[in-house]
Amino acid sequence: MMGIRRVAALWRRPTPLLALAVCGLLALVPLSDNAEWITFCITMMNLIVLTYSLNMVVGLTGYLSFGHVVFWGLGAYTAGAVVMAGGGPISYNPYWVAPLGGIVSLVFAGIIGYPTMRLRGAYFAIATVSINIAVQTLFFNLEPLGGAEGLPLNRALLNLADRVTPAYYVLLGLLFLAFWTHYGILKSKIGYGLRAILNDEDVADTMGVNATGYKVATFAVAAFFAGVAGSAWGIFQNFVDPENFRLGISVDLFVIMMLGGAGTALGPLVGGVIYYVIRDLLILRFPYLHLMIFGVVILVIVLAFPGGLIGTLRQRHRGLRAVLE
Amino acid sequence: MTGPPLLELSAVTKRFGGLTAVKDLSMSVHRGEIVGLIGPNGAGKTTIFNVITGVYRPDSGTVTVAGERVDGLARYRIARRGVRRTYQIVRPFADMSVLENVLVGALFGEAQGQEEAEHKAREVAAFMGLTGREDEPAATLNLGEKKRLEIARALAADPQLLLLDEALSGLTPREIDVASDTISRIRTELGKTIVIVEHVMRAIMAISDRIVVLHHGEKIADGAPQDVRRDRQVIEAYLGESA
Repeated sequence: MMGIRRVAALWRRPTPLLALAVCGLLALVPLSDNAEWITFCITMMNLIVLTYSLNMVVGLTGYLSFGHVVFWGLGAYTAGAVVMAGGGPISYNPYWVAPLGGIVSLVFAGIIGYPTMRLRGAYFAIATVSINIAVQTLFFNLEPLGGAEGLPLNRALLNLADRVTPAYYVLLGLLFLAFWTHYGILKSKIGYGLRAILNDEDVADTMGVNATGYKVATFAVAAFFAGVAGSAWGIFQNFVDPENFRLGISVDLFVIMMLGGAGTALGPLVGGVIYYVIRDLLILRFPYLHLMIFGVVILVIVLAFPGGLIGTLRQRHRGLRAVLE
Repeated sequence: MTGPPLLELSAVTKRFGGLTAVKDLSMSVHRGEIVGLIGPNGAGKTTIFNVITGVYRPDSGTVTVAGERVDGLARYRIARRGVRRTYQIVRPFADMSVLENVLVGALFGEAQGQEEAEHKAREVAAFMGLTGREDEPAATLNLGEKKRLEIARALAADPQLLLLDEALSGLTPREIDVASDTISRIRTELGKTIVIVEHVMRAIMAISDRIVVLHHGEKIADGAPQDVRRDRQVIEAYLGESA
């Protein structure tokens, strides 16, 4: 009974309600049958999930994971390798492979996180970039998976029309799950442990917080989301290639995270929607100058909201701090 | 006193390069005791706390808590044996509120579940005289309050052994009186065992059952406060060798 009342109490909090409302609106978009909107939202949701993944690492543990895209790329290649393994058309829905991409990334994050998360400051950031580049180089040269040319999946995925709507709902579900996970961590014992680590790791350790364990576990869970998104994206694109490891994608993720507010549960969602809508409007109006104007717009937002939109609102209004997370 | 000592150090040595910070130190602390650890600057007092809590591994010797060896264990594992400490230079979690600081202590202590931890955190905050300040950011507290917060954070875990590193230094005489009284109450009302490192002689002599004196990393006296105060070696250590 206690459990039910607790869940009910959660619903009185606006943070999950807001996330649910945005996800509810997004769920309606496919009903429009407008292919452009649908593709726009898929691209946006993919980046928002990736930002959630990054935000769990940067916002909750304080580690700068600059090579975070590596987990997305691994997810994409996992999906590609699995659907192509049979050498012919597959008989199952390819999106069932997506969780596997998440698990591969989770395990990989655990393996690289265990040694690297003992490093502090810039060393971890450098390590993640190096790993990203190394893995990308590996796939550039991995001929069985297409090498530099990439791996088209159309021999396995014949029914192309069925790829879009499932991709949409897989990413939407994943987006809500990522939000819920981040929010859940913030509210739980783990969240307090992570905040303690972020404030002073040595003190947290002597208070019984297994700092290395918590950091690596958070890193691995975060990587899981990036991996699932990568798998879904690869299947949706019908193609995986070493561009799935492009370092530049991380820049987008960092901008979205900073726009929304690093560490906040709503940040990636709010930041992602704003980022995408502004960018899209600018591309339409100013096809040649849009990146320049976009840069200025981002600069203005960041100056006006130094802690990100959600983060700054929390800092400036005490009343919001309790309800907006 | 029944059973093994709650804390026992046997022949602990800790070196930093050529410097021997703690040399062949043996001491024990029994349940319910308040033991004062004193000595001139650089005597190795804080190093001992760091060895007990696992920040440093001893180069030789053993540390046991409630009969079980803890030297060589990870810091968080030693903490889970019921050892908590405060720091000479206060280190509250500055971004968190007072209550959240204490709550971290409770969540990673003996409390079962979040509700019990919250209850415990409020109770301990009140015990340490932080009522009314719970929602303030920890960074806004003054030094005395920060020291109380550190003790509250440690106490919230319900530890067996509490290590207080200069909990009284930097306080005003009036604050020292209040804090000394609180430390005594931690033992009498909460039943904790306490080791306290301190420079404020008047207070530590008054609250400790037993005093261990260190000089250049070695134990030179171990006994009741009134005996230690008259010890020749102790007087020499504090006033100079040729006194």
